[in-house]
Amino acid sequence: MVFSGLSQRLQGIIGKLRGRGRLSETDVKDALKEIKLALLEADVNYKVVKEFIANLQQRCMGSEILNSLTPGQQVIKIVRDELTSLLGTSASSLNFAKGKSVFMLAGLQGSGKTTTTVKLARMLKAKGKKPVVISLDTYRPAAVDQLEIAAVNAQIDSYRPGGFKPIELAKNALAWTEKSEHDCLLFDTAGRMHLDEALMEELLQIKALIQPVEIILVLDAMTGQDAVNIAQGFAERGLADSVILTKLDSDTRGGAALSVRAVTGKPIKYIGVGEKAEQLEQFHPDRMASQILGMGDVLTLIEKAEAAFDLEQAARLQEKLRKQQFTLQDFREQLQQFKNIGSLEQIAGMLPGGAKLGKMQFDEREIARFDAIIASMTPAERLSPDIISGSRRKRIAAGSGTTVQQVNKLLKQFAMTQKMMKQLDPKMAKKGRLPFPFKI
Amino acid sequence: MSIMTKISKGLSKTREKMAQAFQAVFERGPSRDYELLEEFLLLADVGPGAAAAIVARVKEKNCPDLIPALKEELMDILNLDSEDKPVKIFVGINGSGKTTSVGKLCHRYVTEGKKVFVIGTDTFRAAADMQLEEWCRRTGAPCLLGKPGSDPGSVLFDGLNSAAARNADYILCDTAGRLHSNKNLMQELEKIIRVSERVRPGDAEVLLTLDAATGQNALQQMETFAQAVKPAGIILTKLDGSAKGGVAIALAAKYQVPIKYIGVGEGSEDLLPFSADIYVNSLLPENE
Repeated sequence: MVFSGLSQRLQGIIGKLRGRGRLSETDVKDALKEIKLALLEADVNYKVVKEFIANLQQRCMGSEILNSLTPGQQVIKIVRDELTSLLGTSASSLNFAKGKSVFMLAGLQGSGKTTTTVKLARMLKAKGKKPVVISLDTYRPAAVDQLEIAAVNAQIDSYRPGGFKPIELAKNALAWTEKSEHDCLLFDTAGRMHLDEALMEELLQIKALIQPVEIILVLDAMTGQDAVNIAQGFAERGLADSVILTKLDSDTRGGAALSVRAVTGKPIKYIGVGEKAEQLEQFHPDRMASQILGMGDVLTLIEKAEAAFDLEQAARLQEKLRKQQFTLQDFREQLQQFKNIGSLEQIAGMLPGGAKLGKMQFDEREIARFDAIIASMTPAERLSPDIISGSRRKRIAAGSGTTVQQVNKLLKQFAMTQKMMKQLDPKMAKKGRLPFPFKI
Repeated sequence: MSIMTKISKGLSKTREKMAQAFQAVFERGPSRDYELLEEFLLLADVGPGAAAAIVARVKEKNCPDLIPALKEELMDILNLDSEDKPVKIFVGINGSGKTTSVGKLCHRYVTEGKKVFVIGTDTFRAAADMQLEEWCRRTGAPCLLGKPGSDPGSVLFDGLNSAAARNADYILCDTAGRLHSNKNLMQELEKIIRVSERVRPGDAEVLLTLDAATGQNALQQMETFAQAVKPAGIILTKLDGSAKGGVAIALAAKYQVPIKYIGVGEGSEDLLPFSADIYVNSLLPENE
């Protein structure tokens, strides 16, 4: 989960302060020292850390903290404020031009430009735009094929212009798009080092030709201290208007995110959280700050739940809840919807205190197993699990490739869920807010 | 171009920056400014833990000159024994440079007159097979590339057998990029290694490709990959940028994993055998 390592560390440090009635100057100093270490381990740029700590120190040493009745809370508030100001306050989306909007993606080799190009196009298409992706990468072998294949898989239009040099390709592509119906043109470029003058010059030429409404710098979230140099290298030449961070589904502590915004002032707009084309998310800096401090990101969770839950199904479920007819079939549907929100780890990370669940491994396959077990039951069994006898259990286990113990586990979990459902306030169910099938 | 000049050229940007940083250290007064030394190691991605340890040991030496003492310390960490095995399996996270490294190493061996066989088990990423095919076409090395969607383990099995039939000196095996945090993909990798151990017991070494720009997450990467497949060496890629790859120093200190090769550019020749001596001397300015 994004930042979970960092948030765990910071929560630990701040947790020590939280319960204290009074804080001495040494308490604050020790905490600041630990925060500094945590940030450095998270790959936040050294210079950014220094400034961040200096700001914190100034504010924390003031009388508002030392004389406060809840000094720990005050420190948390200050850290949160400072984090938010580092990350920026509000989320921002892409800019669009009046006619055709041209986007160019740039970045280092292996940062994830091609994958991100397709993800971005998919998102634009879902919003009703007509995107087309075009590769200008004539350097890396099979780069053009990669974009084309990935686009086909995601049902996105792609165009392969003729020519040998990137600038030639761009020219031909522009001529073609004049007549095409697409309103968003996404240009994928070859990976390049920000120090490579020749290639940076080439990028400037492409920019002058295609006149992008936005150049998006694609940056690997696992980048260390150099993230700042890279982002500055592109931004200084006018080759980065915004940033997309990739590979945030790893266990990176994501310090690059904190540094890049602070040093270049360019907003991070989206984050890549998986290998699949739909795994691109809007970046919410304010929510991220809360998440880092373990206050959870319930807003994102609610949004995701709303997007994933089928309203009609929800209405049906509500009716069943009211009549207390919640069956295994419904349980299965609910598990499915739950899965649509995201991986269990992602969900846990968004809940307040979720980071404390820490290294606890959620087994995604558990849900798949439950699914298989329920699928192996007869309709009658799904309606009334009470009839599932020992021999039926054996049959179900054999049919689903599981063991009797696993079948028992599911039945137990279901019974618990049913009990939970019965205790629910029906008014709450009416609002369409569904409880989770089991406690995490 | 000699190896020395190549590496120096590749690392020149890095060195310039380091020299500037050191200049600052000296301009600010006595050359024993350990705090600045630590800052400088931190900026090179060595990480707070390893940086503190290195600075402590440099302090212990109580040397009048900081740079030689630091060089000595870094050399101690980086000089590690490494073996050369015929089957090399390249692993690493997405975009770290596995396929390119396979291509470059293949070029190196072919130029040396060795018989090379290339196996492509990345059946997941779009056009991964085409990218590797292009490298094999350039170098003329025979290869077996898995069809998109096919099982990587069985591709490796077939590949190892074809390579044996051709009497290959070296077998280079590319794998799909995988984040170490993805449990299923790590299990898939374990299976790949099991297959190789069954066909060629004791003949394979796992090489972890690591982007020089990677920060402290490299420690987590190493930890997980070590648990699953025990990498025998590191290939430090993209050292031609401004990144210093300092986290490899932290890795060498903690896991005693040698850096075997470094990538310093986009050309086929730009993968060089690692030498601690050259690396450290290119990283730090000359003794004054």
